[in-house]
Amino acid sequence: MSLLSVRGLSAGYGAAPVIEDIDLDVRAGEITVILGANGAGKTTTMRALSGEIKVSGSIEFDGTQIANLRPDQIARRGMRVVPQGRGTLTSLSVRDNLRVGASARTDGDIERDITSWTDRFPALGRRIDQPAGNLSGGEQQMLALARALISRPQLLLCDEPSLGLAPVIVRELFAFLREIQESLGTAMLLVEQNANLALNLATDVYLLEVGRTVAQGSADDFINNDAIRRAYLGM
Amino acid sequence: MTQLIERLSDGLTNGFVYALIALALVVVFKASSTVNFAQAEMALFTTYVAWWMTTRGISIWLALLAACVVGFIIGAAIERTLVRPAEKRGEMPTLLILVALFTAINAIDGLIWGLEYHSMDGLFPAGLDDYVSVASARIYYEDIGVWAAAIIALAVCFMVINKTRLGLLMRAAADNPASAALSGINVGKVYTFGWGSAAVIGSIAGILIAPISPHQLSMATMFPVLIYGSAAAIIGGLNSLGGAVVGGLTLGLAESLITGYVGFIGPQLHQTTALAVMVIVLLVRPTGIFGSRRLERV
Ligand SMILES: Nc1ncnc2c1ncn2[C@@H]1O[C@H](COP(=O)(O)OP(=O)(O)OP(=O)(O)O)[C@@H](O)[C@H]1O
Ligand SMILES: [Mg+2]
Repeated sequence: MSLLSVRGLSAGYGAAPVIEDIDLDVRAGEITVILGANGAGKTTTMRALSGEIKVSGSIEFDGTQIANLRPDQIARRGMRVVPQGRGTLTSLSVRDNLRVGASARTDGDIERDITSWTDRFPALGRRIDQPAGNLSGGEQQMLALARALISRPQLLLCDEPSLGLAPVIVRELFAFLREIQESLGTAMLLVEQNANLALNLATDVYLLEVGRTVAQGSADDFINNDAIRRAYLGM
Repeated sequence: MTQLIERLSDGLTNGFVYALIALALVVVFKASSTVNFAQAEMALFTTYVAWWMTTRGISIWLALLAACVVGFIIGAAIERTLVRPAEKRGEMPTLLILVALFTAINAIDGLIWGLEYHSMDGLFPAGLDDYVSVASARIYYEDIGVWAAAIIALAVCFMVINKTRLGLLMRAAADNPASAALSGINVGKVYTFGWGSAAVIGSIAGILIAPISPHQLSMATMFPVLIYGSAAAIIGGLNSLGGAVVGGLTLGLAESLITGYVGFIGPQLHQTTALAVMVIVLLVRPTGIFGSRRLERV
């Protein structure tokens, strides 16, 4: 069952589209990864899905058409993005960043959830009332994830969450994403340069090259198929 | 001593009004990254509305309320219909629109209400005997009332911005609009609300100053308030609410003391002093006294 179903998606920043005619599915509760070289159009795909740039084509999320809705409308329907570069609200405190993440929720459990997230990431708890701009890069990545997840999204979009993080932190991060997927059933669409880690985490894979999907399949196919690995992943 | 106390009292009164206008400018700047040159003229318009209501026998307090409502609607409408479309074309068109709006509103005020001076009822008792004596200096209830009203208005603003959900959304939208939108915040709506609120603050400032202004209620009432108010906002750093208040009070007191004690400046030159103070502050600290460099670490 597809939670997100994309057909014939094209988008860009000027006259010429950067991504063209992309078909893509994310199954409910599963992790899907987009691989591709620098400049392939991965971030552009994410921005097209989250409503930040105009698109042509069809984007169906949870049974309804969301193409060309505003980012805030899409976010409130349960699709959240951790953008490349994290998008931290630097002048707001860590706590207020989390409150902003939860601002579309109407239940009364938000403060309790903030506590449970800071229990999960003690580094955030220690700096809960400091401006988020004071956090280290890794801590900001944790905050960005927590800020998206505290809204309890059905689908989490993550654009290169490992960027700029030390290898040991990256492994922790991927373990955490797996834990979230297993415990909460959150579906994820991940953009990642680290193909090894990504293929281990994901069940479905898309390979993007200059704005088009050139290969797709299950993560196992990608891991086991020497031809694909050599041709596209250089490993 | 007597003169000093009276000067300080005067300075505080003007300073609080400058602080309110500066605060309105900062609220708009945080929303739209632009200085609303028309802010004081918008306030003049709603002050005229309140004055007109009092001439129809409506109490000044009700008129104040009505002026705030009208102000909110005008502020919100200007953001939605003029500023937002202009912003898509860049900073220069936005500035031009606001300068044009300044002139247009001033002209409309003249057309509707005429060029003569009107005396306007104050919110507070203003009889000859309505004062308290402090060390033989007279502090009028009018002044005390302005201080109290301004303090309440400022306190409500700070409460809303720092303690409410709405304030949280405003701060998020000002910090990083793209990221706030990705968190589900309708940034456009928040900006519209910001412009509306700024116009409410401006309306309060206008109604506080018009009854005691040397220009009474006339086309010229808000010029000095605009000059000192923008100088205060810029000194405060343009994006600091606290800075706007400190800037406004500092300029109000400086104006009053300089006019009173520095003979050669006198009443003619004192608006130039505001600009001089502003230039000096900006030379020493280009981001204003309280202006923040953005904290960023990637
Ligand atoms: N804001 C923009 N305006 C114009 N062109 C852009 C913009 N952002 C990206 N592009 C162009 O679109 C193409 C795809 O960029 P995109 O950021 O989607 O790549 P990416 O796959 O995410 O790369 P990376 O791995 O480096 O993050 C590039 O050629 C880039 O120059
Ligand atoms: Mg990218």
